[in-house]
Order: sequence, then structure tokens, then C-alpha cells
Amino acid sequence: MKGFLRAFFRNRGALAGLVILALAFLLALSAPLLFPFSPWDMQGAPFMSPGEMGFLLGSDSLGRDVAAGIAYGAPVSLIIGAVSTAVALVIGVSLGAFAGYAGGAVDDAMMRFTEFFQTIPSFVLAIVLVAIFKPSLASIVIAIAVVSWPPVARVARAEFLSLRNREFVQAAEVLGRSRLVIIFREILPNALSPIIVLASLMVASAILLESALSFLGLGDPNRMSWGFMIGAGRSVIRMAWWMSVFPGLAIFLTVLALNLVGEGLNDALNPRIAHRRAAT
Amino acid sequence: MSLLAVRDLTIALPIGGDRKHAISGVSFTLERGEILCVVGESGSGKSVSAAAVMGLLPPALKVQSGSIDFAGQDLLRLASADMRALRGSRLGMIFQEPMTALNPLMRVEDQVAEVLEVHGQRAGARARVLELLQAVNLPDPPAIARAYPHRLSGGQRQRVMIAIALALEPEILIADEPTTALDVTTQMQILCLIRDIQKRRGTGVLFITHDFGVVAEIADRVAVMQHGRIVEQGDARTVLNRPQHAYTRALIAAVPHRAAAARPQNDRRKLLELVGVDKVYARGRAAFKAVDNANLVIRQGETLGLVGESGSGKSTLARCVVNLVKPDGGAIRFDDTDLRHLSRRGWTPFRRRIQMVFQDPFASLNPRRRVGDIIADGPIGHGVPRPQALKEARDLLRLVQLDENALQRFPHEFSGGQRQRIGIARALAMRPDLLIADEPVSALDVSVQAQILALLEDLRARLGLTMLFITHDLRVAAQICDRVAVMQRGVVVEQGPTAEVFVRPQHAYTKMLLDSIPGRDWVPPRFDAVSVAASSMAIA
Repeated sequence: MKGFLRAFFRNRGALAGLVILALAFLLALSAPLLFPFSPWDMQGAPFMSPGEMGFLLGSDSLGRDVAAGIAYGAPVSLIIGAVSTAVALVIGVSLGAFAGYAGGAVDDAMMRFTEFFQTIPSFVLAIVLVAIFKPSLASIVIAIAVVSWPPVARVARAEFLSLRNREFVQAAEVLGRSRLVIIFREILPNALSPIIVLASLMVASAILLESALSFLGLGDPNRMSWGFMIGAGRSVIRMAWWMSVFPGLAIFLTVLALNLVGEGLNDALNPRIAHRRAAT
Repeated sequence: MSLLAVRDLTIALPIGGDRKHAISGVSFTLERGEILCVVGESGSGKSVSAAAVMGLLPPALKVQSGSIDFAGQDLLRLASADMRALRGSRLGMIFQEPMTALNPLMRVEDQVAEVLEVHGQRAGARARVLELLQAVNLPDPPAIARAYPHRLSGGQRQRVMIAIALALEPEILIADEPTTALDVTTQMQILCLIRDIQKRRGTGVLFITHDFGVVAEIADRVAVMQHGRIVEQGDARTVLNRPQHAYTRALIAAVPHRAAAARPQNDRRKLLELVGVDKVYARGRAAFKAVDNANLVIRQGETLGLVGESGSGKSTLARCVVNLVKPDGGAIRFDDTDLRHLSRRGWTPFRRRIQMVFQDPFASLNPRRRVGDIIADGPIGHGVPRPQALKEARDLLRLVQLDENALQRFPHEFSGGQRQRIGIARALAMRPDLLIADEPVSALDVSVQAQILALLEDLRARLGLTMLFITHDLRVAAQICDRVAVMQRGVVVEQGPTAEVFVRPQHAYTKMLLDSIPGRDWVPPRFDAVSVAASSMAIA
């Protein structure tokens, strides 16, 4: 654990990513303090450029504060990213673990099922799901989870397949432990590293998916969201560039930060790379 | 003048290593037409010495002082282009792992021809390749030349590696454990080949090994390394039969060498009986019989050795007994119950009674769990309360001669031998009647191997264990087994009391195995108890 932390913090990119993420969290938590009004309310004249009339990042076509929109959009993005990833992990890890541990025909059947989901373009499926269930925070989370679990299942299955034949698992088998104990206590803790790395990248892609959905108007209508702001500013981008650029920057930075963290986790958790770093 | 002279070579380890120098103050010479064996256990610096001569040191290791004189120049001061010109043409090398040393995407002839072309002998390369393949005794050289490496067996690949190393008739051949990954019979063929070629061409061979049997087989001179220093060197016969240094004595004493003694007839009840066990692996249309109609009997209190080369089906058979592999036919009777038809639940009472010790001490312990939990896990799963299981785990640690505070630590904090002790403690925690040991010492250094074998024998006597002991090493089998069964390609070709099988083998394959034991003519000298005790201290 200590070695892992040292390897992770030596990676400057990962550290920068972590700092940006922390700032995003801080922004999400302090939104009601920084902007003690609804981001949907008119705060001044429309189309004010950044700095004018006390609008730090300008105002939109209805005179709403873009900075407030970004602050209130942060929790939506982060929550959707985290929760949908968690749901996808639960689905993906349990299916993958089961398939990898059982092997044979069970494995075949479950992997064909997984491939069925992988063959449908994920964004189209997400749009269909949200459109059917009416846009809300819950339906968006479920839609994103449903389209993003297959890679998790594949990674978990691959890990389980190889760990399943390791001698310490066979030893547990010979000791007469139950299948559940073997899966959860012997194999899963050893399979976590690649899954953690994958999860950090999945949060990033979930945020992107949510932004894309709300850009198309399929976001939760009661919550301000970065994607929605870009979508709303799109038609007036020549008059008021700040309406789409700043939310875009927010998405860019958050996703970049998550990718940097994921990269750092990968380097620190992958023993082969970690050793090479330690040696040089 | 010597062909090769290494003087006072010191190579530093990166800061934070377990010692300061990989090797320090190493000096040796190699003469024309001589085989010098460098022997030592893992971590002794023998491979680093070889890599230094070839200029193949990993970048983290830096030479601090010393010189390597070859043909009037110091190899350590050579520009890398000059070193490249020497490598392959005047210095040849064979590596340990033949399975990965060849490029899987190149035909054999292209790989052999490559070394000729690199050193500017493009003309006639093809014809020369066939000659070389012939010289290393490969059957049907034209066919082998056109084959890709995956079509070749390990022994054949090692021959191709030797052909490549010898292509330009180097003056020095460096062999880094070239037979360690091979079966005994193949090992013997490769050793004979190396000695034969070396005699014919007068090559100087620097042979790295951990096996004193191999040393006895081919060495002219020996250098023994410990912790990065050469502790003893000299004429092979002298070092093998009259070792001076305590470490050499301890190493030689640790070589299993007790002749198979006649043991009292065991006519107690049958604990395990295998009748006509079959296991077939089917891949598409091809079927591979891993175990073919195996019949074995183990009586209460005896140790049955299952010996054979890799792929002979001995591990598969053992795994059939504990249901890790499902046999396709036959009966496995344990105390008159046929284990083969039991459900997972039906197996539970037998899990207590049959336990297993695994081969690889680094893979057989869960790296994320504490040693105490690993040992106590089995009994807890069978209903023993946790505090009691942990208390018993503490007693077991003492039984396998480990410290009690090991309970709280993780497996990676232990050496290979200590981990194997933990694995044994885990198996004993269930108080089994039958212990299956699958190559429990083959991944260990010879001195550690001797300790683990002594421990197993002691435990067997003390706890009245019955053992199925699987090994490829006939010396180990002779030392520990009451009876042996010899397996070849899935078939048990011979079984009987150890002394009888070893002295009067009936089956041709058993004879061949026994003839392939390296250094079979060498009888290690006996040391009196006092000096061996002192030597063991030197190892510890």
C-alpha cells in the first residue's frame, strides 16, 4: 500500500489530475454558498460578456449566470459519473466473475450475452433508454450503466479465468471452501487492480455520455448540466462564445483529470511498470 | 595465457537492494578446451558474472572495478560496436529458457542464418545452417530448418539455440543454466552434446548451474559462489570430493544422496486405491490421454513416490485424487468410498482427510491475506471456532519451525522455503490422513530443499502421515519414498519398493531415467556430523 501511494504520487500527471478533481468536488459542494440563488433565475441583462455586470463568466440569452450554471452542473456530472460507474461495476464484476469462475458453457453463454450489448452502439442505446424512461437523474444513470458494463465484465472474466487456476485458489478448493468464499475472498481481491483502473476511466466516459445526452436535450430538466449549457449556447456561439466555451472547458478538465488519475493508477497498480519505475 | 581472465570484478547493485554488490572481487580464468562450472544458489551472482562477460548487464547494474581480459583486450572498456562484433562470433551464449529464446515468427533456418549474416557471412549461409543443425544432432535437419519454433520440443529448441551459439565457432561458449528447464533425459542429451562439441573444437565453456549433479557430469574446474563472492574454486574432482569451504560442504551435504534403502514391508490397510483411472483432454478432434488406466495403491503410513518427466501425467493424476481435475473413468477409492462420484457437498468430509502441498511457493499463497488467516482458513470453514483455529495455527507454525509472529504477516515477507513451510502448515491444519505433495521442493534451492525434505520426513514420522509424493527428481524420490511408481506419457510403467526399482529397474524407460541422473557415478563425500552442523550454520 505504501509502495502504491509512493508510485502514484511520483507521477506528476496523476497528481495534477487529482488536484483538478478535488477542485471540481470543492466547486460542487460550495455551489450553494458561492451562488446563493437558483442557476435558472435571471440575474441581469442577457448576453453579458465575461466580467460585465458582475458576471464572472458572462450571462446567457436569458440573463442567467454562466458561472453559477457551471457550479451547479458540477454535482450533476460527478454524481452521474460515480453512480453509473458503481452500478456498471456491480453488474460487470458479478457477471464477469461468475463467467470466469464457472468457465465452459456458462462462460460461453454469458460472453455471447455481453457481446450482444457490445454490438449495439452504446450512445444510440443510451438515447433510446433515456427516451423510453423519460429523462431524469435515475434514468440517465441506469442508461449509462447499461451501456458501460460490458468492458468491466470482460476484464473481470479475464482476471478470474487466469486466477482461477492459480495454486492458492486450488488450495482453497482442496480445503473445501464454498464457491462464494473462493470468489469473494480468494480471487476478487487479487483481480481488483485492473478493475479499479478501468473504473476511473469509466467515470470519465460516463460524464461525457451525460453531457452528450443533455446536449441533445435528454438531460434531467430540473437540473443544470454542463451538456445542456453547451446545447443552449450552440445557436448563439458567434455572439456569445462564453456560453458554450466555459462549460466545455469544465467537461474537458474533469475528463482529462479522470484520465490522468486512471493512467496514474494503472502505472502504480501494474507491478511490471511499477518495478521499472522503481529501478530507474 | 588464459583464454578469458576475469580479475577482481565488482558490480554494484542499485541502492535499496538486499546487499551492496551483486558480485564483489570475483576472479577466475577460463582456458581453451575447458569447462568451468560456476555453481551457486539463487541470488549468488553467478548469472550476473556471465552477463558481465557477454556485456549484457542490465542497465541498473554498474561495474565498479575489475577487468575481463579476452584476446588481449579488456571487454569492459570496449566500445559497444566492438563488443557487438565479438558477441556471436567469438563469444557465444545459450540461455536458460529455450521456450522463449527463439523468435516465434521466424523459421529456424532464418534464425540460425541471421547470426551468420550479421557477422558478414552471407555466402553459403543456407548450406552452413543445415550443417550446424546436423552437428547438434537434430533429426532431419532440412525439415527442422523449415519449421517454426512452436513445432519443436524444448530439447530441440535448446539444440537450435546451441547451433546458433556455435555458428561462428566462438572461442568461448557461455551457458546460463541451459538444462534447468529441461527433463532429465533431455538434459543428459544436451550435456553430452555440449561436452562433445567442446572436445571437438576446443571451445572454452563457462557453464552456470545450481545442480551439483550437472557439475559432476561435465565440469573440469568448479567455482562456487555465495552472496556474490567466489568462496572456493579448483579442480572439479577435488572440489566435489574434498570440499574445503564450509558453504561448499553444506551445499554438497544438501544434495539428496542417500541410497534407496530397503524399507520394512508395509501390510497395513489400503488408504487410497486407484483403479483404472483415465483422464482425456479433448481439443477439437485431437484427444490427449493425460492419464491412461492408472492403478495405484497407497497403504496407511507409507510414502508413495510418483516420478516421471513433465507431461507424464503425474500432476494430473494427483489432481484427480483431490477432484481439481475430473477423471473420465476408473475408481478412486479412499477408505472404501469411491471419491469419483461424490458431489461437492459429499466431498466436504474428505476435504479434511486429504490435503495437498503445491509446487510453487510463490503462487500457492494468496498474496492479499495474512499468514494466520491462510492457515486457519481451512479449519474455520469446517466449523472450528476462529480463536481456536488461530491458536492451532500458532502451534502449526512452531511445528514447521517458523516464528509465531509470522501469523500477522503477509506471504511476500517470506522466502521461498519459508512460504513452502506455510503451505505445509496450511495442509496440516486440517489434520489430514493423506498428504499429497506435488513437487514441493522443485522450486527451491538445494540447501532449502534439504531442509523441507527433512521437515516432511520428520512430520511424517511424528504425525503418522501417509504421503503421495510427486517429483521429477529421482534423487529426492530415493531419499524420501517407500515405494515409487514411474509414469511415462500417462501410463504407470513400473511400480514397486524404491530400493528394488532403483537397483533392478524392469522397464526400459525407468532404466533410461536412472541413467540420466546427472553425476550418477559421483558419490558425494560423507562429512562427520560436526562439520555438517558447522556448514549448516554457514548457510543460515
